[in-house]
Amino acid sequence: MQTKLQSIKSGGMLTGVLKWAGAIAVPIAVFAVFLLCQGVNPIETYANMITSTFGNSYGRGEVIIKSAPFILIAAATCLSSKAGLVNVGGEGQFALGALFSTAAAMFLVKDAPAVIGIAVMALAGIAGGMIWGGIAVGLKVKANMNETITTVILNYIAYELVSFMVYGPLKDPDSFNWPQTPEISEQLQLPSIVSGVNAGIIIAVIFAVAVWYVTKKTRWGYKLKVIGSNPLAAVHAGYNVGKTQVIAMLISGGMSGLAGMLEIAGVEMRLRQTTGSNYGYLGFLAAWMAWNNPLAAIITAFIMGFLFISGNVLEMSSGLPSSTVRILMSIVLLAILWKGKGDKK
Amino acid sequence: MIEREISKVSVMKTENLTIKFGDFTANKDISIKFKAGEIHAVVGENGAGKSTLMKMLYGVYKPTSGKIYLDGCVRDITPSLAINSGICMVFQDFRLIPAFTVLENISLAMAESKEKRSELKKRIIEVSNKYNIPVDPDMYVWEMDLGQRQRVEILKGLMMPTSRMLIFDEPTSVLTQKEAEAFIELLKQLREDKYAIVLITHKLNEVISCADVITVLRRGEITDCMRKEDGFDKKRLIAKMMGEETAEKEVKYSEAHSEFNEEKAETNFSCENLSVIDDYGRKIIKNINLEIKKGEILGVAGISGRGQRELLETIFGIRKSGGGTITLDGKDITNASVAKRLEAGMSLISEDPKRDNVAGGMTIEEHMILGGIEVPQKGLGIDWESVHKTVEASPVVKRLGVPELDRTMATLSGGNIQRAVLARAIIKNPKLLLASYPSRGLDVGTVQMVHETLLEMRGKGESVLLISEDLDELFNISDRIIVIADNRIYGKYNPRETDSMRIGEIMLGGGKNAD
Amino acid sequence: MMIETLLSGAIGSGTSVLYAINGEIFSERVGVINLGMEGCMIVGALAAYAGAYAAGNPWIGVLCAMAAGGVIAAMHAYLVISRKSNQLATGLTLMFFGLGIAAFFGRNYVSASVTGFQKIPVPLLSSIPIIGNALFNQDALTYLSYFLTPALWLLLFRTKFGMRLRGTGEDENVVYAYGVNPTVMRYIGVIAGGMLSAVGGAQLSIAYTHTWIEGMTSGRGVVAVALVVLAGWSPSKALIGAYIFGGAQALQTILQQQGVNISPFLLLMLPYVFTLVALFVASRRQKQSMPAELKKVIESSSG
Repeated sequence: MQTKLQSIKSGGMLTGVLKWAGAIAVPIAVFAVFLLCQGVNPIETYANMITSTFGNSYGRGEVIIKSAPFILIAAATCLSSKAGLVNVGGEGQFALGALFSTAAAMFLVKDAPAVIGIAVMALAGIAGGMIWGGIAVGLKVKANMNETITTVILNYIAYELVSFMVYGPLKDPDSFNWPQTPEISEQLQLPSIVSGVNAGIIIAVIFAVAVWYVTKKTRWGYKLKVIGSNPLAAVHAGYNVGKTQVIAMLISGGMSGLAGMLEIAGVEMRLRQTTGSNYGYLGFLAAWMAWNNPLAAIITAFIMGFLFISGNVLEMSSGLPSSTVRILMSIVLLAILWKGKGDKK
Repeated sequence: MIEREISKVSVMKTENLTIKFGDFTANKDISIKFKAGEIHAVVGENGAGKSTLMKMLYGVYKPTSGKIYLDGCVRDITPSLAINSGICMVFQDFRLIPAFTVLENISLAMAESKEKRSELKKRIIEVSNKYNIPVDPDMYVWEMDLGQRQRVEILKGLMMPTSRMLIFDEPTSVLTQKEAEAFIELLKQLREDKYAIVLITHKLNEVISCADVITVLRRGEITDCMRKEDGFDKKRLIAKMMGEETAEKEVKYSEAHSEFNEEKAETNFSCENLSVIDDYGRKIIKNINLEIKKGEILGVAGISGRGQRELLETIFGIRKSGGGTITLDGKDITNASVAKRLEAGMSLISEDPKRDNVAGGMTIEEHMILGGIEVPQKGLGIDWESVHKTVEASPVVKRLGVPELDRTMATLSGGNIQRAVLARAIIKNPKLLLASYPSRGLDVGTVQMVHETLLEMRGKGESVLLISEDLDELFNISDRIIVIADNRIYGKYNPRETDSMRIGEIMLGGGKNAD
Repeated sequence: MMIETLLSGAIGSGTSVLYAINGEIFSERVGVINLGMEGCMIVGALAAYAGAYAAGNPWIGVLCAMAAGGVIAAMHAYLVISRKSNQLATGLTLMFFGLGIAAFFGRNYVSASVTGFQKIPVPLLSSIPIIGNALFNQDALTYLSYFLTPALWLLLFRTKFGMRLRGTGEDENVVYAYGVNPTVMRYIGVIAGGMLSAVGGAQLSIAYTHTWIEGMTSGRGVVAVALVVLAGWSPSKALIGAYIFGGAQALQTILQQQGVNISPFLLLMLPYVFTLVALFVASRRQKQSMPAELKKVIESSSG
């Protein structure tokens, strides 16, 4: 019995691997054709993409740095999805997190010692994300508004809000009219651990593992699973669905907000209009690629990070615009969607 | 002369029809003939393969092997070919769109017709007058009760220009006694008009009174076929349906009830002036004053859709009540949350467990702590080992034949989900079990187990509020019966002192037929 | 004067959203939610611009837009209908894809100028005070939308074809039982919806603004998905949401022109905030008219 089960499992795994290989090979081929049509040598380009990212320590560092927010946002998306919420608002929650933590760094803890200052920034970032997530889940619970749509709309509002702030109240007076905030004080900037990589990646991975543990093992995770699977059954079991969803969404928003704070304190050091642009969507899609499994999302988010960084290479070496990498990413995602989950029991 | 000719040739005939789903053979070697002007009943227990057979006749399922003849020619049946050949199926779960009106639903069914809305409407009224099927063409289907929906479904079949064969899947299960009688009359009238009629049912009495041919299915195979001319032998039919063994067992529980003393028994549950509100905010049942004693099974009779579901949901706290108080075991739980009520010893089996009680991707074992047994804690997590032990050790789980504990709900049949949900509700020894149609979808043997389990609960001083559409079931195992009719509760009635005819009258007529 | 400008702007700016709402209604009526409408709109906007540029005729541009939007929607249809992929994730990916493709191919058109649709005042009618100018001094695509909206309503609610489309979104088993292939109906609904939205994109680029800017639809497609709820899945009420959104857009332009001292970014938020508020208000009193198959999709979309 045991051996039979195992053989079924490994057989399933093999076809699974093959399907994955297809889902990866097809978009690479499709994109190669696309590059050819643009008169660009695809093999050269792919080689460039890999050597410039993984071929040197700077590139590796960049990929890891970029992966951190994607992992956090993906883990956040996984968490809320377990509660039956499709949170596409990572983008806005990240933006608010970045905005709040920047504001905190500018006005609250400008001269505070590092530990306190960074902690306050983190709390501010989490609060920002929570507020944005809270609005969406509040509208869902109180007015039964679909959170997928409201979170996307809130993303647009968040973008305008950040724009308003960096052009207005938070604008750096010495920036020669660039729409950006002043750089945060030096002691608030996260130190680099190895070759430019800060603690962000570690925090992100810890959060992803924590989300996995909480959703898989704890009683609250069990509750989430029931709610996500059949909210009516949850009601019949005496669970407070609305309250649980609110909590899950607040945590999810808070995590995206924290990602925003880490971006400010660890990477950009100041807020711009474009800070974290598309991070939320990429994090969301990384979570979907991993079928909302937070551990698998670490890997998919890392792939996103790689694609994101190698996109710059396309721009520099092949003269293609930055939108090219968006096309590559969406082709990869479409292939994965085409492949399907496939392992439904 | 011509009419006789028609009746000789079968409209539809099958030869050695077999269908398999994976390893499971749902139908085997079915050879059967359906003729014009004949009522052909196909009887069998739940799960005997009746519905599967009909779905093959209608082209919804493709047979694995065997042939279907239409007017003497072998055909590859698809739903649209069936429709075009005048074969109509009245499905158990009606093929109606609730968001559409009667007119729109019928128009949707008339794939080929070029009729204008107004013409179609006129014809609906004509046909409904002819066969005495009252229906308002502009009414939305969601506003209708199940009996009305069935009438629309039948009307739809009759409206088809070429319609000549009607297949009914368990048609009377949603009808009251009176409606069922009217339905049988309608069948006879259709037989006069030379329709070939196929009636799938497990209600033998109805069939014997009107059928010309009865075919018995058991475990996917034909075990018997009788013609009216030769006389129907009910005993033999039952034996062929149930298998020789089970038919011997008479299902009778009434003796157990002689000891129930309403005066002496302690009150377990009571409600005062409780009003029940439906989804549209209307008071569907008003001012309920009710007591359930310890060790009482209180049966609830009533035409389906009269507030049964809403009543249970209100008592369970899922639905906001329209006023009144609820007490369980001396504690006022009027404003208690569902969680508190579960804690206080309530348990609910919904009328649709798949919709309300289970999460598809989770296993049976995982479900046992979902409103069932108390969650054993282990650090932050759940002590699944302890859950496993408790469930394994439970006699209820064994007796009800709950499938392997590691199977996910999504892979279970309706009957097995019912078993799992029932076991979960009972395993925690609730003080009050609210049960909607607990034997729905189960075979005769399991129904008996369910009844025994309920009676055992009763013996331990637990109470059951039992909703059922089967009056025999209610009479067999209830200590007292109440009836929901015209927005109020009638009774209690002692089933030993009244009969199903009387209860049926109250269900239909409400006040003027009650005391 | 200001009211006139506001009304005129509301209609001019709202028309693109109106097309998109109607498009999304078609899609959702067959039980498919398409967040990729944003993608359909943006490729529509670009294709219209490129088509009009190449052919010198805006109508060719509209045809190009429909083709481009149709392709994006067909991808959505294929993935969610034939491959059963998750509708929300697929829509989102296609939104991303559309924005990427449009940005990529749109590079060359950023400074190109085209002969788009011009405003054509309707004699007599356009001189009606206050509303005349707003309603009857518009471009051809806006006039077309006046006719299209009731026509789409008739198509959906008064023809057999429409009934089959709606039936597919309510219960595919039922329509299948009556010889209608729900898969075909779904494809038709989704692709037609994408084409309609793309015309909305065309209205934006070659009729309303006469420019091509990367990302110029700025969430209109997503807003349209939201406003379908406000419209109760019926073209007859699609106008309300569309013109509320358009009005908010117009208000922003007017206030800026009037020199009111508010940051343009705060004003740019207005249409989105209005959309949320409108939905919130609607949710308080709306009877559920969401197609049943769509409800299944929405309720099982996570996990």
